[in-house]
Amino acid sequence: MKGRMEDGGPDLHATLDHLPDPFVAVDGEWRFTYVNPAAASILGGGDLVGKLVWDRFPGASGSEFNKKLLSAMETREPFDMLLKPREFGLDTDAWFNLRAYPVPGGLAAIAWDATAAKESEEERDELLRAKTEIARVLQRALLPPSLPSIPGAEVGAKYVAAGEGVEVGGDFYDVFAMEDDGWALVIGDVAGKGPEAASLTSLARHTIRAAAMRVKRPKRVLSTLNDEILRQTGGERLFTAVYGELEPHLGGEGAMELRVACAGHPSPLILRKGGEVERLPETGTILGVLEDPEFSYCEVTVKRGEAVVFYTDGVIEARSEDGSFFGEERLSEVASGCGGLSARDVAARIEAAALDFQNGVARDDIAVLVLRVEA
Amino acid sequence: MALVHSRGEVPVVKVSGDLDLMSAPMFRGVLGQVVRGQSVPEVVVVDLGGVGFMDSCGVNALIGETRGFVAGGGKVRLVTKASPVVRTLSITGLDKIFEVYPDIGSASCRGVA
Repeated sequence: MKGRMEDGGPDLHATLDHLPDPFVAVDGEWRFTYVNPAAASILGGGDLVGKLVWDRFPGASGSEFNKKLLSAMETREPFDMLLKPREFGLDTDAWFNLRAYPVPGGLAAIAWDATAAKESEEERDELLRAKTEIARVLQRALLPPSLPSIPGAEVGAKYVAAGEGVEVGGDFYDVFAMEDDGWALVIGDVAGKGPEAASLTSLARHTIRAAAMRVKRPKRVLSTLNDEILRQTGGERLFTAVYGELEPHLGGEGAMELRVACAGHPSPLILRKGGEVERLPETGTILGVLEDPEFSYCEVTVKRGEAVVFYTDGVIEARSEDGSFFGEERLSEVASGCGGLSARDVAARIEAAALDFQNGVARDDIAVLVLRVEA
Repeated sequence: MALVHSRGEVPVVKVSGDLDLMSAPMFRGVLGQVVRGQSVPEVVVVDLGGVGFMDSCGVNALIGETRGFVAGGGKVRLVTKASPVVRTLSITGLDKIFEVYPDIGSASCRGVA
């Protein structure tokens, strides 16, 4: 093939010779048929035309690049690939994007420098890693490092942050001893994510702890929390929560009494003996909106071997690929099959069911807190 | 997807699809134009009849964007059909904060001064 066309058209050979991007062509036997100067300088100089690719660059044999080239020759389909020629024994630290495509009698390939793009991609990955690490550390600070031991009962919890955990989630739970022998259990969900949601979560957690010591009535604890959220956020952040106080000695025969107030949050489930699942009332108003919200309230006796499941909407709003929701029915079914399991195992089973339902990647944060009275 | 039309004097923000993390900002923008426009209406209807799912981001948008409007005496009426949205409104207590109607006709007619 000679450069200038007979009809006086463009000299394609000269054109390719002048391309600043490396361009090569090989025949069906993998011999170089054309190497432009830009390619020659990267491939190590010397006249490559007529040389076998795999003899000249043994370092590329067996690589992913090798396989893709063979496949392109076979299927006549083009492909793109990001390459680091250093891996094939070439003397450059650059990255290249390469596109190979079938041409009559062989393959042609053009490559262009992708070092800058690759470096900014690496910087982005590094930032993402750092951000995820910050989120992880913050998240840990928002949840109790360990759950307390409650005589005659046990508690277990599970937490999964949405997606890859890049943002701090807005869900939280807490369990702590009250001054006179009782225990407080709380689960909540701040609308939104990130540092702002995290700071409100932290505020909520500490407000609840302080209020629990001072007022000791579930509805009043939630009212105090509502006032504080309104005061701090000017009504720009919503918050849902369930707050319960456990009285170990009130139920009789090892049973315990739980007093629960609910503020716009899915209400807890009670797992009775024999697999029956009860749902507590839940007509309370979401926090952070009204100055005088109404909360639902109930007192429930939890007998030996029975459990209470607190959870956030990330469980019931888990969504499968076909768009259907995990939903309350499915949650009740899973919970119903948890008879005899420890609090920790109940929480783990519910978490796993909600995660499996959405192929292992949580769309929203998932928190599950389980209290079980010893059998 | 959120569109505005009107029923008599009453502006109606019609939302369809899911009202979640992805669509809430757009919904908020549309709703904001209505409740903070040049002539602020007395009543706004938010038609959630075409919404299949609403999460806490949708709730946040609805409450956050209408806060000033409601504080200034405006009324927000919701229209819902049987869907998980009804459940979301009940869990969060929004059905106590806003008036809820089964269709646009009743939402846009009754009690307009």
